[in-house]
Amino acid sequence: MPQNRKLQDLVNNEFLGRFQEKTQVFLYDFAVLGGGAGAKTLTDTDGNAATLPNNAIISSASWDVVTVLASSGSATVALGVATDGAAIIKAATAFDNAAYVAATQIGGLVASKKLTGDRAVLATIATAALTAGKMYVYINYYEGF
Amino acid sequence: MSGWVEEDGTEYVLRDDGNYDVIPPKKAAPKKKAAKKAKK
Repeated sequence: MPQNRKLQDLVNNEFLGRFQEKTQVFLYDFAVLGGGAGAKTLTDTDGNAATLPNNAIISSASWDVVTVLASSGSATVALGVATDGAAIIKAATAFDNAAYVAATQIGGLVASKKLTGDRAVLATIATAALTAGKMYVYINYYEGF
Repeated sequence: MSGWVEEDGTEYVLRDDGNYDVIPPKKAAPKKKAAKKAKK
């Protein structure tokens, strides 16, 4: 576990300095959000609404698939944020691609991005519906000016 | 209606449940050929 993650567990993002990287965790849970085609607004780990802050500069992201994604068709899943790019974290990728089946994937971003407002994190499901799945998406960012 | 349009033209439309409908970009309609002038 990175040292900044340990520190965050103790003091939370709001008490970290501006130049310390922050992490926020979002949850996709099929049991709550369903799996129909469309963009799902991810929640915090307790299932409550959550957003990344305005001016956040996303530096990296990773996701932890705790319940394997399933589909009766050829579903694809993209990860991103509302308004500033629905696929800036992960471009649309088959649900059974290695990117989503391994226990934890360290994801390079499609594009680093400075957010232009408080933004929800999205999982966009296309081509077919998901029928199961649960994953945590960890997004690291710096506070921009 | 709230939402946005991605660079590729994909439209995201906010639903009542807080999720979004995703509408693929519309394909441009094929251009109609100009009508030939009638010969005199």
